[in-house]
Amino acid sequence: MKGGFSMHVHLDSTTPIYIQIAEWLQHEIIADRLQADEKVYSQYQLAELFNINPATAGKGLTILLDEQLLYKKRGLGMFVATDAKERILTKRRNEILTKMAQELVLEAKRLLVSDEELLVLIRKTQEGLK
Amino acid sequence: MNIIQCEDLSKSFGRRNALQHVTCAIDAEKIIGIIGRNGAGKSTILNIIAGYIKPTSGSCKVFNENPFNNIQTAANMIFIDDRLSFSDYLSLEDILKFGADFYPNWQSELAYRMLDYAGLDLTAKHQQLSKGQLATFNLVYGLVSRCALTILDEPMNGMDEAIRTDFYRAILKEYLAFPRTILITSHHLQEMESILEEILLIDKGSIIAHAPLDEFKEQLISLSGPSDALADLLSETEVYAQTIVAGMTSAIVDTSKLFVSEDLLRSKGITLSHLTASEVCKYLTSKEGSDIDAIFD
Repeated sequence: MKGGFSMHVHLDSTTPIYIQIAEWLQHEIIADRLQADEKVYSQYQLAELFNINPATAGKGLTILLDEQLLYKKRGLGMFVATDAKERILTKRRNEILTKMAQELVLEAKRLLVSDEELLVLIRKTQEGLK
Repeated sequence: MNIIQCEDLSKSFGRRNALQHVTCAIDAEKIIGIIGRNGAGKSTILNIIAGYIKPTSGSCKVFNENPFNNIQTAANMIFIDDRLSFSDYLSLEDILKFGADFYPNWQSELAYRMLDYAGLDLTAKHQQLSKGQLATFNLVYGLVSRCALTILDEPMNGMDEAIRTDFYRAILKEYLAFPRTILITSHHLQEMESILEEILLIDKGSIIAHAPLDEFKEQLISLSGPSDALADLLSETEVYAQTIVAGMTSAIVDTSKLFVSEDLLRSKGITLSHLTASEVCKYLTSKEGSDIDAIFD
């Protein structure tokens, strides 16, 4: 038990844990830590990794399985779908990035920032991160 | 498979009704949190399941048998609470040896390692242990017995926080190594909720919720925003708690009776936030209109 536990993500107490697990797995795929056709963690490994009930970990895996980001090989476990990374990226661009852009534009309006100024801000931020 | 089946179970002590018409089924190989306020009936139902007391009416089956005075169910079950007592003359090591003789799945090696980790002296007598050490020893005893039904009634009482965190992890690891049904009660839902599969909430002698943890948490939701925007909405749903300060309302409502989309709420300046499991317990079990703010009005 001593020091035997390193948590990869902070689990917060209000977002359902299985959703946090599904998101963590998608991050691992985007970051290439889980690659196409590679075996993913079993629900028991996830349970131990995150100190959670294996049924909860299983629900997180099921989300990815339902979206066909993972596939099952009978008796061998679950594997990353060949096009999983691409599909996660597309989905995130469509959903998350679009939503963030909407929020950004709305907030700029509230703060009386002109369209011109907002674009300048975005460009400056991009340069700062290069 | 159901390992426990209670039908219309009631128990009264004199004029006090500790349990009233409880019906529930517990599946095999799950970790289930039994939650309730003090005096809600948690210990009563656990004592009936363990076969220590008889119900006043109704039936309780454990492994398909009546557990009361039943050696068959007793051999497949262990009940750990702070009243667990052993002979004054036995050292911890002797107690472990008796455990090894009685329980077929007993893990001796693991018991020694866990007690060593917790810094317990095996030559000590059970009676000499401090409150926290006693709880630690009893919990280790309960885990290494690997009984098909393991009941842990407030197993962490008196333990300090660091060791509690370790032992919640120990419960999970032991469960992963050897799946079994574990019923666990605690006043610290927050620290144990991640290892639970289901929650069973008892209030005033009745079961008021029994669901997977995530479903349980999603039953209620918190809404906050301008009072006039919320007023109509709140009249149509069930409100569990409500506070109004300076024209802003925040309310806890029943999610299943809320028939509006999140986007629509946002457009009205209303924000939604999820609750923690212990907050949901608090609102489901609080008396109508009971609110700490009301005392000060």
